[in-house]
Amino acid sequence: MSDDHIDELIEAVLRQLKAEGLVASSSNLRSQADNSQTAGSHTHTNISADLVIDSDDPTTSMQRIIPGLENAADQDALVMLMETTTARIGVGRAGYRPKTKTLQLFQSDFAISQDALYREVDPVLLQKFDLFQVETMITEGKEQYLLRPDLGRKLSSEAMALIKSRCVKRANIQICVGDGLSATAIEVNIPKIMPVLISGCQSVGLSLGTPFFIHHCRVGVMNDIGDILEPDVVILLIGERPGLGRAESMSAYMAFQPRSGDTDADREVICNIFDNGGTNPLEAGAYAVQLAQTMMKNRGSGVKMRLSKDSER
Amino acid sequence: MAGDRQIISVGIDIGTTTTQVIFSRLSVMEIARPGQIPRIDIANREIIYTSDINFTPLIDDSTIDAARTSALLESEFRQAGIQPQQVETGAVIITGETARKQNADQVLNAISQLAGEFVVTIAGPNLEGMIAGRGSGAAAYSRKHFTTVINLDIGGGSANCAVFRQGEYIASSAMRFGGRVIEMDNGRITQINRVGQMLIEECGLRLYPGDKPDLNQLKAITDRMAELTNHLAAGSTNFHAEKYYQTPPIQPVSKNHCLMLSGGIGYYFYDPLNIRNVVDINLHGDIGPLLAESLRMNVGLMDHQIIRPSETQRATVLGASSQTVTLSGSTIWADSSILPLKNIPIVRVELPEFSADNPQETGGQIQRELKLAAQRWDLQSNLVNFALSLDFDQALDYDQMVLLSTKMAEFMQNLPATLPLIVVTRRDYARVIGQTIKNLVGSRPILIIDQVGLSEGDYIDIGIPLMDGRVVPLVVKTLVFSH
Repeated sequence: MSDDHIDELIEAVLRQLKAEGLVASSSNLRSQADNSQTAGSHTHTNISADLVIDSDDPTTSMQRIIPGLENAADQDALVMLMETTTARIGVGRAGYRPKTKTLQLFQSDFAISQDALYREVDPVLLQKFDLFQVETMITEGKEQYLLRPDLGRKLSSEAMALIKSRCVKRANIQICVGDGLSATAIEVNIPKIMPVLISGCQSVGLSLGTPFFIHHCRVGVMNDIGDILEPDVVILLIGERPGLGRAESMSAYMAFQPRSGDTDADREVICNIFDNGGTNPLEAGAYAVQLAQTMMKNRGSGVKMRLSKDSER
Repeated sequence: MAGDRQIISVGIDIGTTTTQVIFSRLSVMEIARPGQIPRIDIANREIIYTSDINFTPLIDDSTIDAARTSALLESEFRQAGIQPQQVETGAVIITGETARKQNADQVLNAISQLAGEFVVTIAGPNLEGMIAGRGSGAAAYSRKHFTTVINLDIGGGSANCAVFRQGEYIASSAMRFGGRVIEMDNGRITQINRVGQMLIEECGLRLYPGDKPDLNQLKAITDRMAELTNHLAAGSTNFHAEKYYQTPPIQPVSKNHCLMLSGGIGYYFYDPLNIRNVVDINLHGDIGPLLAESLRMNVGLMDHQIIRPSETQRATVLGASSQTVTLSGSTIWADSSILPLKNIPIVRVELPEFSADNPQETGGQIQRELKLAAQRWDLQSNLVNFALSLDFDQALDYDQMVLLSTKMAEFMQNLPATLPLIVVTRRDYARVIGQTIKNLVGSRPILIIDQVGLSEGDYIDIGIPLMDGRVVPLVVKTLVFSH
């Protein structure tokens, strides 16, 4: 095969990719390709070093609202419609199949979710916020954690001993952090919400317990913490189950004097804590402090608190 | 969970031609799903009383009879069975040419006992257009259909245009013309106002009170107004149109938009009269129905997708009654002792891009911007209440939020300790800024509210907190609601 022939083939492939919008070519090459198209003939191209065969990151919010559908009757309306939902609408199709861009976005989103689940929270972050680490009953890693939620709800005996030895008992507010199903959520939100919780509690005169990090954590572990440390309110910041492409969502579960046997009905939750779309972690922190005050005033949380509030009325 | 709270709201529209009243019941309730942080909003707007469409009592062609207007409104309140003190919010709008008449203040004085604590008075062509567009359903339609709607509200003396994109108010403009520029009785001209005179001259006609014009002559005049309407909707102008504009034209909007017509002319636009002769059009003593007909025949306007609004004639009064009040975000920080507050000017502070690695520089920039705002409004010497509207569109770090709060607290140090710090942000940061600033300002009252977008030059009224102090009602008197 002659060099000329190879060049010609590459040129043809590139042109095809460019036509599909998959190649971010240098303007130099683009104008050459355009020229060749208008001339209707194949021209020789030196494949320059600055050519990048790569597409833009499909997961940015800007990229997500570029319609794949061509010739929409009302392009503006389509974009507005796409902005209102995370559902994959307006993507168009290539024959019976999804477009390359649709598939790439789907695969990227899936990778984001997987990463969030299988990563471990950065130890540097835990150090920065003085969070020592304890384990639940999970001993065989993520697979077991996923298959055995019941074990993620109980602290190991070592954890219980460590907590007893290191933590202040009977504080007003006990803050705990758990990885849950998304390490990413913890890493992006903790630096923002922790200082708000701490300064917020201090400024309204609530005493703080010693915070720590729970590895392989499920929400139910709050009961064990309540049993051991007997705080008024436990706040557990925990990574939510990632959605497709949405890994940074965190919840703050809160319970008044949790004890073994308590269920979700006894707890409060602030969910969807993340920047740009959810409740931002700073405001969520300030609201959590307010909610903690309410719980202490009403001496209850969850359904019981609501029922007692309703009967007051 | 707290139950819903109901508010009675009044809308009073005193126009060039007609005066109308509508009472609405607004239901304020929790709309957040469990697990989300609270969100309180106006979940339901129910009309509980609609007045007749009364002619505005006039002493002569340019003076409203304040006493008779007041008596008219009192009788509407009686018929509705509503005491003035039951009314918690709403708006009195003096629209069209009437607003420019010298006795507008006199009228407002005369009806002041009818307007409750938090009923605001608004006039001004831009605001009128927006309120009419909210009342006609243009705003709601644009939200529901993910589109842009231009609402044209044309009454006796003014034509108001407002643009809504996906429920958000975008722009408005106004021209002085309407169905009542020429008044008629039984085929004979009884009165021509200044604008009518201009139109007649531009058409090369000679018409005077007492004349019996033929249909074609009048048609030439209403066709001319239809052309003006075209300019109004397109945001264009020329030598002639310029004379009718009361505001700058709107920025032209994208091609895919719908058109809605409201006001008295809007009514006949959708339900036309059968016009065979001059007498047919004088149903209301003016040339309004013929103007509607000219609009129907106008090629430029009919080129658009035309949508029928949910309300035509009563669009403005309905908007005034049910659409003027908005609620703040539901995690706010409010010292309720200073509320309610009226006519608070908005001082916009353009915040810099927060840099992650050079807080010193960002701090300096914030300080400068605050200082600039203070100079612009001469805050140091005026010493009146004002609200800082923080303009930033990025997610904040903890340190950045503290920096911002600190700079605002420092800024206030030079002002009297009794002057409250009022801050408005579009992004949801009110509670955390409040929590932080509270420790920095000592005894100074603070009011931090969010999820409201405001522009420099807006004025707001802030009402007494509702639902255990979790939200405050707001009336923005110059445009842009964000919610």
